[in-house]
Amino acid sequence: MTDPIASTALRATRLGRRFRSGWALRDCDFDLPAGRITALVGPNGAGKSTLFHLATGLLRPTTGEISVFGADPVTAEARDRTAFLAQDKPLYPRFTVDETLRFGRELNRDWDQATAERIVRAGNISLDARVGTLSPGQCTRISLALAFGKRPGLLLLDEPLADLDPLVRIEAMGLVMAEVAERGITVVLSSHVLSELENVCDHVLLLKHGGVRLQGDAQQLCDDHLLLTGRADGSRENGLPPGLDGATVVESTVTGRQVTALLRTDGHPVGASADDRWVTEIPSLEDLLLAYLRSAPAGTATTEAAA
Amino acid sequence: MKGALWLAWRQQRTLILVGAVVLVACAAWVAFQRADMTAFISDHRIPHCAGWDADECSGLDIEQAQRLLDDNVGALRALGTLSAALPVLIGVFWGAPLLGRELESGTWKLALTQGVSIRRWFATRFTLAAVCAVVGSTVLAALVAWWWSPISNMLNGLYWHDGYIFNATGPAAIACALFGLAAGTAAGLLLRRTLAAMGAVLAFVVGVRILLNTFRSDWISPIALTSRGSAPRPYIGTGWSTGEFGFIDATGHKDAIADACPWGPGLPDLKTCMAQKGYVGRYQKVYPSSDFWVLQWIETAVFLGLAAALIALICVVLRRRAVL
Repeated sequence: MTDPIASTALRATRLGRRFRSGWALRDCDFDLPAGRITALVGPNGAGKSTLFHLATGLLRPTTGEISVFGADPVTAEARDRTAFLAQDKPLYPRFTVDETLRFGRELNRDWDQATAERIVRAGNISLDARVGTLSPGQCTRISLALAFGKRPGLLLLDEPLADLDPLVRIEAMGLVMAEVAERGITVVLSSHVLSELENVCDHVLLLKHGGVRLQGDAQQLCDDHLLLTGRADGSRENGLPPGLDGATVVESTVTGRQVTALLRTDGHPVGASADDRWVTEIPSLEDLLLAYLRSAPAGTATTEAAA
Repeated sequence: MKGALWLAWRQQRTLILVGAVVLVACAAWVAFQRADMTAFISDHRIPHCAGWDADECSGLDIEQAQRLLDDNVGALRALGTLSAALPVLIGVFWGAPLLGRELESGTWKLALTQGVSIRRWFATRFTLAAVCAVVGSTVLAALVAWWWSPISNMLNGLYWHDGYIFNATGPAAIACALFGLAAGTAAGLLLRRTLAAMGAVLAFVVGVRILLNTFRSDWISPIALTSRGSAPRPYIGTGWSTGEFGFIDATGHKDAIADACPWGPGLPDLKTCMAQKGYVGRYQKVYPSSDFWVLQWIETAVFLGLAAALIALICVVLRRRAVL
């Protein structure tokens, strides 16, 4: 398990993809550890879907490379180990549920019919129902049944919860987490709803403008940052207290006379912590991600967390 | 059925079954019509008189022969139209959705993230469609030929060079079906929309057909049928006239002036006129009916070449995953 390839589920090296409209991803380097649940975060157009398509071999990179457990995504080896739930959750509307599961069985060498059927039945969906007549929530369940029936080592979920109502979101997420926990599947999950990621993800990959802005262990990243709140210091341009030299200001917002700033401290003590006019706390994952999403695109804050 | 073939069958079975039903219905109808026709021919002892002017035509009961043609030519034309239109129908309803619908609905992402490779996924579905297209067009082409043969090239009936026959039968009709399928598939892949691909393939296949029909006679040279002096022109028989008539002078040079010696009151008769102008004979240019096969194989090669180029294009685009 010390072999870095074996413990890396998804690795990108100088990965780039250009479309006619420009670069969707550029010079991305990352290693996503196996057995973890990675949140893939980024604003619209940051390249999240492109990354998923590159990881599944649906697209080929323009530059660099990407590998799944050390294999090129277009190889049979990588295809057999990867399951992908595309954003639009495509299914054949004219197939029955039973035929959809047969599709999975016919097209995969190592198919787990029992699991797939169990997932379908748990949603009270008839095997004879036509997929086109099912609700979005039921379609998500069928898509997940197909994904888990594949016995994947890596599960890629592109906005799996979008277009679902709150109850179904909880149900779908619960289903994913139960199956994943049982088998130690590596998951990469993209979502716009940051609060949903907080409870399920233990690793983060944040994309912005086609590049990697932040990556690393979720807890470690939170520990490496500090959320600072206090009254703006009028004598300084950014309103922040002096003595922050050991830290990088990721982002700061002034609301009236109050300043909120996210600092990257990498665990070093910050002078202002001692000052009781300033409140410092470990940020939540949501605070952290929001700050990085809001921050200016300047490359200075691009960081590599120790994996 | 197993694996990718099961998927291809499951997605194309409606088309296959509808096509099979139509073919069986056509075959039954043709068998019935043709039996009627051959009974009429033997009842009235109508010889197979090719062209207007063959020797077999001399003892012909023209009234009965005309009835024979009137009874069959219209229906045969309808069958010929169906067979000639088959490549377009295959391109529009089978080729265009083959990849177009997958790309439009996103289901290609589902299919290509399972265990089968893109090559196998495409090869299986295209091969199944191609086999069906070849079988279907072969059956229709054979039905046209079978029905037409007892009355082929007869009087004012259907001749080998008529579009209803030439485009509807022979190897070129089968190759054209394959071309239609490849064109539809490529259009679906490149346009990524079923409806747009349907329109594009309709225009493309019809356009190629019109071009080939227009330039059909340009592939090969016609032969000149000559007659000496003022002897009557030779029979065209089952030949396809180019419309080029004229006169031959003593050096053997052919003047394509059909009315060099017009006939009319006050004008010299043909023999005198020809002598005055130095002509020693007359000619006309025709394609003999044996050219049917030459032209068929030329167009077969054209269609197969186009189909191969389109399939190569599809393979390159799929290999590069240049579909998103």
